[in-house]
Amino acid sequence: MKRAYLIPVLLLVALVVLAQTQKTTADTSKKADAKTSSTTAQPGAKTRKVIKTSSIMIKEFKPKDVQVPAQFQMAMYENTLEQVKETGHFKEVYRDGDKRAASIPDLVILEATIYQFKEGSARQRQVTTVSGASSIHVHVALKDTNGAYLLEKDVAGNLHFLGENLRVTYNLAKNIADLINQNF
Amino acid sequence: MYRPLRWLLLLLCACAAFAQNAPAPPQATHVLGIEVMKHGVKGTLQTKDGNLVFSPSNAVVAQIPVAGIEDVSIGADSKRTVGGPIGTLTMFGPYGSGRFISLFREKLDVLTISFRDENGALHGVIFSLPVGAAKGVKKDLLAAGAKSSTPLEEAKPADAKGAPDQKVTPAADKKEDK
Repeated sequence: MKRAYLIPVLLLVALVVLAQTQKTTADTSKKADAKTSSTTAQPGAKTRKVIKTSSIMIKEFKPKDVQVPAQFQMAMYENTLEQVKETGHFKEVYRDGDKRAASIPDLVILEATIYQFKEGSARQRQVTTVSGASSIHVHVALKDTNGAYLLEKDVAGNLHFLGENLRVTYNLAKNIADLINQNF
Repeated sequence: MYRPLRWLLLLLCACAAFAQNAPAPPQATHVLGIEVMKHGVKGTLQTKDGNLVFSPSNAVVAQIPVAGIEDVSIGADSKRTVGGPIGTLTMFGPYGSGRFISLFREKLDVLTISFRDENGALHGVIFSLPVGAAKGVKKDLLAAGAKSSTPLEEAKPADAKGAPDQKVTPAADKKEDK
């Protein structure tokens, strides 16, 4: 009597195991396919372009049709320099106007234009927790030494809760560093 | 009998008057920009021998050559009266007490200096100072030959919320990028 139940149960278990093994082999073959497509860059396949360079120059952040206090502009520039250095992708990170960068052939230049800025209020943020947010929106462009665009993207930095107003520039710099990490 | 005492008193008064005539350099806090120094380091800020010298009490002295300064501007900001880790802890206080404490803020002047080093590289340094102290530092810097895109009588950093500086686009009047 007991054996009659045992056989279908064993069969069921065997079927489940078989299905699982087939699924895993299919997954691995799919992954392998994807890997080969990204390395061979077949036409029509979506591949991420990776920029290769040893050095980068960060240009001064410039506002476009928007009022930005000097301390915010400088804080954006300095924080971005610090964060880009921390990515570890570059041998040298040059500042705006550095003469030593002139002799580097594969130099990439990062230009950022501020097109939206809201200073916010630290007091409002800390008292209400819902208002007084600070935000900065910049258009980041990566160019080569000939002025050809390698990458263009809008990046934003926001501050909703903890920290003083200048902290928003740090958040923006972190996001720019993320963009660098994705493309280098 | 009282004559020596009188002379001593006079001498003391003269010393006190002399001490008041020589103004002490203002206390400043390094916000960011000096690579060799941590953020939040406190020290004195003064113009000396063609340099802007920031001297913390027990750390490396930072010097910025005045000749390389391209712009000096004053902005406004504020900080929590109860700051630091204790300030953060108060935010979790019961019955909204943390939020009530957040209402008390101290006004500050923010001094932003942009300068170029010997390689022509642009640096930006930000200091926070007590209200009214930044004007004196800027006056000294302009007298020593520093450049500024805004006049000395620029908009007074008034409200604690941090009204935007009158200086709109400091980069606009600088030469265009090549």
